[in-house]
Amino acid sequence: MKLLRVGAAVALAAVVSASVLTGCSSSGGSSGSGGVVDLSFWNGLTGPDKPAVDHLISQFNKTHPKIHVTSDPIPWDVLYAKLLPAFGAHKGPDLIGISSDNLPEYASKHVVQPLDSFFSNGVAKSTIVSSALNAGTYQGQVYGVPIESTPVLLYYNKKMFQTAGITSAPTTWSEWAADAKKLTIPGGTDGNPKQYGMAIGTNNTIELFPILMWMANGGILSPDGKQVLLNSAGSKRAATYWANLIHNDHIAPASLSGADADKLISSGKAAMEVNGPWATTGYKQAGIDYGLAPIPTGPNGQHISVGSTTVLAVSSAANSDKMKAAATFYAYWTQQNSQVQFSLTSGFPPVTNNVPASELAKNPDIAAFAKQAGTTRPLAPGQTTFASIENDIYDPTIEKIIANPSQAGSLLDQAATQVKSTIASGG
Amino acid sequence: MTRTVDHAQDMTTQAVPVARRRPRHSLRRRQALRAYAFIAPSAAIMGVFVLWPLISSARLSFYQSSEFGPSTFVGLGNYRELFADPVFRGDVWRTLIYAVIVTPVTIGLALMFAVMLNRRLHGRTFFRAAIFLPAVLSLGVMAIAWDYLLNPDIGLLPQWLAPLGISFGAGQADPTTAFIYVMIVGIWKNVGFYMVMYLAGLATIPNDLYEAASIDGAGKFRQFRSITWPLLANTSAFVFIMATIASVQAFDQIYSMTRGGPYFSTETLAYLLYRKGFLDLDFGYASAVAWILTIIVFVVSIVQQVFFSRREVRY
Amino acid sequence: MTTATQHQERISAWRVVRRAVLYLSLALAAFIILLPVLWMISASVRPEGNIVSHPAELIPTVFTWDNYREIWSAIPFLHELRNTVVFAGCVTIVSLLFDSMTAYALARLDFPGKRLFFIAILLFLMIPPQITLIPVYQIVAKLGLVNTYPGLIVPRATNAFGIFFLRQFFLGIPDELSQAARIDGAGEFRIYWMIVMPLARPALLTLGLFHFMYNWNDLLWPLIITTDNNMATLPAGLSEFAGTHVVQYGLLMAGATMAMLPMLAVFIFVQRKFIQGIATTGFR
Repeated sequence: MKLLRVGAAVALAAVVSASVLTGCSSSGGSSGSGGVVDLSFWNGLTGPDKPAVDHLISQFNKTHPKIHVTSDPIPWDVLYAKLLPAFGAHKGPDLIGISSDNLPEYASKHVVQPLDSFFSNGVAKSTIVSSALNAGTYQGQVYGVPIESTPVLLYYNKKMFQTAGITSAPTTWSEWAADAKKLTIPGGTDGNPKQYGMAIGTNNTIELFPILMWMANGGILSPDGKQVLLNSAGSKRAATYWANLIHNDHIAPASLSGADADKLISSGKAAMEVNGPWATTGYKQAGIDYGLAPIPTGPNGQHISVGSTTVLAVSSAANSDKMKAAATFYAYWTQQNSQVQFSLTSGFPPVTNNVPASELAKNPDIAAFAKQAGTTRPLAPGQTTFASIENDIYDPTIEKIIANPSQAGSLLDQAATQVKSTIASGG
Repeated sequence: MTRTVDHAQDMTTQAVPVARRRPRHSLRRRQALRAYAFIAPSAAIMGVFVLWPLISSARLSFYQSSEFGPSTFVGLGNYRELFADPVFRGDVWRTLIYAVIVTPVTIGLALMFAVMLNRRLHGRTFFRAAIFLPAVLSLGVMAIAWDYLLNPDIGLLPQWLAPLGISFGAGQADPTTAFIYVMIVGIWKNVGFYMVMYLAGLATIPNDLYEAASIDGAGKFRQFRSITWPLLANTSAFVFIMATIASVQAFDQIYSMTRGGPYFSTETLAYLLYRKGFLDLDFGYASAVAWILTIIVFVVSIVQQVFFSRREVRY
Repeated sequence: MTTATQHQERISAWRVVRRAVLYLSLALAAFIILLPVLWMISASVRPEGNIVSHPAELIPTVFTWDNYREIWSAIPFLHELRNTVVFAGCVTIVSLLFDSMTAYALARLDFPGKRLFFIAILLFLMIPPQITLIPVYQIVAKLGLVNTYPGLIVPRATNAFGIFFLRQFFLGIPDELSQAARIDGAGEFRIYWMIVMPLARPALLTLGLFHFMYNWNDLLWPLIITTDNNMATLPAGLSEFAGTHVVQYGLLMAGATMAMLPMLAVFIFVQRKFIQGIATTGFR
């Protein structure tokens, strides 16, 4: 009798929960109707990038009734956390939009497939900015095509320059350092300067220090990815020079994240920053009258910048129909009027090199970025362990060097050893 | 009734033992079955979604894996690498310091607020809501707010407190200050949570006990020590374990505020887990970290549980 | 006679001072604790340019409702609100049921393996949640439940925390009540449902609040399990204001403020019921 009661109770509970669960039944995903190729597109393009991307995609879907691209923007860290498990469970998307720095990881695991067939399906290879295209290359093959690509430039606060009596943006390191020192005004709260010459982000940011190292013929890795350049003479020289400026001359606060560096500029607390085109809207809103200049040249006199590129890659599980559809999509993306519209909305320079300057005249900043597009280098070419190198070794080392400039040499030696073993062990 | 009859029979015959044993045995069995029925849904769900992942991650800690494609067996390799890594050793140390400081402070404040807000007070709901609110808010958003409050160059608090001589120095760029920030935000977030649990516990202590005590002349502190604290033992056991687990597992504010920086000085074991597992995609290593973390928590908590079970209040 | 009234006056004056100190310290504590929230609300009614150019303002000098207006078109707020309510609500209801059943058995029944089971529960509590994320995803994927409500809810349908919490509470309910009912012939489930559960009202409300709140704010789990925008929850929507390089602070703060209000309402509701509950159970 009692057992029956209990059994009934458990059954009741099961029924209740089952009905609750089916009552909360899923809305399901979209299913492809006859003849339409559905392409799911997971990317990290949230925030201000999104409207430009959404617009392009909806235009594409309208003009190409046989193909339907669905964009699913997810914050970067969740995206990267999701991708491999999803692919592993065969639930991955057809297209992914990821940073070119992270592409090797996925290419090496054959999660994405080579895109050479794109170029015989309507995409003109020669029209794509070569440094952007190279960013998506892994072991000689193109695995990712650029959908957003830009160098970084020097932002400077025109008003602060005027007040300090500086007439033009610096063009060399010595001018740069002198200007930064001049623009650092003591007298703020807690013994910090009232105004900093520069805002330099050293974590979670577009990396500046690699650029400085490249300009001194140093760097993290050689272009073929085989040699570690972290502890070369050039790298040490650049690191020591700038660490001293930050630590001893206080031209910038130490250990800033990218977001914090941006805040200093928009609140009028720092005069210069190396940043990408995404910052222009925010600075304008904050009322900052900024100018743009190429990053001042260092010991080797070359104009160098780092490329921030988002590439489009196609899942290895995509069949030939989907590949063709993806090629059509990318061809549409790189069409001149698409690129013009995308550029003007997002502020990014075009990924193609055949857009006449007159089309982009509405936004003069774009031209400044486009001009330096050819000077960009990738951070860690072809490295599957890039994320590990940046987060576990490079960023902490740089921050430590800034705190102890005299130890730059030994710290870089240590870091070089760590990078070597990371590459050797594959992560 | 049946039992007494059996018992009487037993005194006369030896043939009864089997009959005597059956009712008691089947009674216990029925009780057990009833209990199993109660725990069945949870046990089933946890078996699939907690136990299995646990076992699988334990197994994974002996492999090098990125959760995709084949993994290579490395035996104790991950653990060896772990213990050789100075950052890991630092993380263990930092996790323990964090737990040792944050746990008692959070619980102490929670208990204090609970006692203060248990009595009749104007605006009691407002104060309870205010203290509890941090637990309810997204820490990602709050980290942004905290940054705007604590930033040494553009922040609110340095500006307000500078005239009082309180210096924020280099703020988050300084390893010690960053660690203090992380602790403060950890305490801030959880105080309300434990306060609400203590309020639930305080609600079960009958008022007449306090009335009787004050008639006998006992002051507020004496009442707390002799009535409140002992009768809160069940709640306290729970709060202590939860708070310990939460502080040893501290992750959220470190992720949102400092990302473990500057140069790992605010990194805890849970953040190391995230960094290795989700940033470096080295899940084998991350699983090893997870297990060491679990063992640490387990040991600390079992000790506490033993301590409290001796004082468990049962009626 | 004067000394007696003087004494009385001194006591009541002292009591007033004590009360004042109490209120003052609570007000100060509340202010400090609420400071980030105040900043968030303040930022939500300021234009973006003003937030980033004058970050250290608590009281807005330039005021706008733009952020609240734009939010409705920037993300599908109502839709995501609905998804979040369904997700958090379903998980709360189901897990209150399952957690309380299990806690009841642990606290008030005897069965072989009880101690082991309890230690297992404690162990589950101690596992860092990040490490089970991917394996659970893989199981859900294998069951074909990715991007479905059951896939979202079932793994969360019971919770070591809830079981532990309720067990502690159930331990405090006198055994005589159950015994009396048993002697009267009531079945165990009846005792559980009709006698013990009503007495546990404060704890159930509290736990319900915690479950609801935890799942309301959960970002990672829903994002990993869902693959299309229709199923997105509020935290996922809000996370879209943090772009790759640029954060839209005004919109984010407006969204966060709005997302906070339902939780606040639930808390106040629970608190009220709490106080009522104590009064009506007449416990002890």
